[in-house]
Amino acid sequence: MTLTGDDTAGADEGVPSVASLLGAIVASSDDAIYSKAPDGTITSWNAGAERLYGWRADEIVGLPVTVLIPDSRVGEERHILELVLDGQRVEHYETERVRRDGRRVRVSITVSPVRDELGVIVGASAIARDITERHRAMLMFQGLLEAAPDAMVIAGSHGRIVLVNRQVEALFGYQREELLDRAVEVLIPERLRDRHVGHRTSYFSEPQVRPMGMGLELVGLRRDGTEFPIEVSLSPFETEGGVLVSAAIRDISDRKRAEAQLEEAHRALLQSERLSALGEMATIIGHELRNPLGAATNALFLIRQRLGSADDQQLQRHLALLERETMRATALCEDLTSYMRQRDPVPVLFGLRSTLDAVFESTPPPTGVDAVLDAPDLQAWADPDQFVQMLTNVLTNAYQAMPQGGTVHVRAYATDDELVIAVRDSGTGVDPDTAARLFEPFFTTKAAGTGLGLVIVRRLVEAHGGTVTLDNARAGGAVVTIRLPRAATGPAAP
Amino acid sequence: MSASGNAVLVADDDLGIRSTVAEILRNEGYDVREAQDGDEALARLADGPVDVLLLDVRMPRRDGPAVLAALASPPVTILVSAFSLDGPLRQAVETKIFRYMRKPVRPRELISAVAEAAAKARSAS
Repeated sequence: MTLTGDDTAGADEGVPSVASLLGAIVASSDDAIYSKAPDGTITSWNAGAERLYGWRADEIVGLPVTVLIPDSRVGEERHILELVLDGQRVEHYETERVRRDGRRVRVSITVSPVRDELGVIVGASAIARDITERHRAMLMFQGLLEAAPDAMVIAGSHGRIVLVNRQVEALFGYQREELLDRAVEVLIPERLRDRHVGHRTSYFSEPQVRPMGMGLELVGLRRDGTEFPIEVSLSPFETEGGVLVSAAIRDISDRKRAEAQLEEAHRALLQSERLSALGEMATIIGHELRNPLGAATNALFLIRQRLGSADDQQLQRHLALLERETMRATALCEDLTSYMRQRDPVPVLFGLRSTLDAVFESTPPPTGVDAVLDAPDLQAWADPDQFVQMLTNVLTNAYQAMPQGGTVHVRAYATDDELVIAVRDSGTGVDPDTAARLFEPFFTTKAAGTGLGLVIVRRLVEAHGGTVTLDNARAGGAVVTIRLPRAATGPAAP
Repeated sequence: MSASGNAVLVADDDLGIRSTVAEILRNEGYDVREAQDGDEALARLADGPVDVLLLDVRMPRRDGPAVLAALASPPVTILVSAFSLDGPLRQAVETKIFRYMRKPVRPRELISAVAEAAAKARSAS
């Protein structure tokens, strides 16, 4: 103990002087307490300093304070001394010092100016505390924080961010320095901020471990303004500086997406179950109506035979109507059953040209409609029955689009990948809304249509791995284009 | 239509179809008999010679294919059904029938098919 002072001399008997009391306090303090002259020479040194740094007072007093300072921190010490000689205090400055044996020690130092009776600064006092343990704990804490799988945001009761980990940077797109000391609401969309301030205030009044926003959809806001769904767990912990709350934040976009997909799959399943129940019923109805419709058709035939060209115009009109309507109902039955009959295509090689000729033969253009066929004699690779049905339906559709007559062009050609068949009519064309709906079951624009023709075409084409589209042709009218993949056109024709 | 005199048996359980088909064929000059199920069809065939058999697939008691199976040498047969002819059914009857027609059969198609069948029956006898 080298503290000196005249005060000790004037002490009353039995009553220690203030100076001697102070001296005793300093001597017995656990903290390292020492002083240095303005030039950095150590002038006093207590037992705590001896324990911390390993130097005895008689060894170190008179040496420059730089013996305690690692080479890399000499500038820092000079700066602190300048501040203190300027009359300022440096408090709880965390740094590193060197013990006599050369080992480094982590310390927290408070340095204050020492003044004489006139207030002139004559040196500096330093109080140093060994914080190696605390520092180690801190490093471990930071290591844990960084190793956490979730983004961790730690905030104080004021709602300001105290600490974040690397995952926060990655998740929200900020550098951590940009977030420190900002309100945590910077991480959520503006519309939710007021509500969040309220929630967090009430949370701090009774902090507990719990998931945040039970039953609420929580949303995070990235630096670039994009939002994403999050899940947050909160846990409070006590520190010297008061209660902090750590929020573990997890991006649940993937989970949400998976949930949405599951929901969609479930919906599709329900839909397909409903459709298959509906399909079964439609198939039964389609079959059960065949006999009554067949009998009605036969009876009409017999009436027509008996009546011949009788003069009764009204009767003739009604008979024609019956024949037309019976035919329409029969066509619906046939469409229904072929729509519901799900047969996988059995592709074979066949001559395209002769098949198209056969389709025209069995479904000839009505009076007033001309047909133009522009098809090379390619070999097609498809299910012949299904191919005929596709073309028959598309042709029928084209005929019906031209009630006043016109021309239907059928053009077929092969590209490297596809066999393309385009059927163009010279009708009025379709508006885009209608075009989009024409492939929906039972959607029809025609009095005589069943609304299943193009639906069947699409189903058959897709079963072949192809596509079918309906557009307006540049020359007017609508064009239905069937594209069957090259695989469906088979290997090089034999 | 040179159909006069040929005997046709119409086997169909649906009265509406059976009676109208019979009448259409009678108007064409055929000697038409009727049966409302498979057993009755076999009974009518036993009664006397039939040139053309118009046979429904689905019938009570004995269906069309079972009728064909019971006959050593069936008449020239037109098989009729609301269902498409594929799989095992096709294999079972293919060699025994003259033609398969899908319901509903249009009257004109019916008349020409029966005429062809009758011509075949005549040429065979």
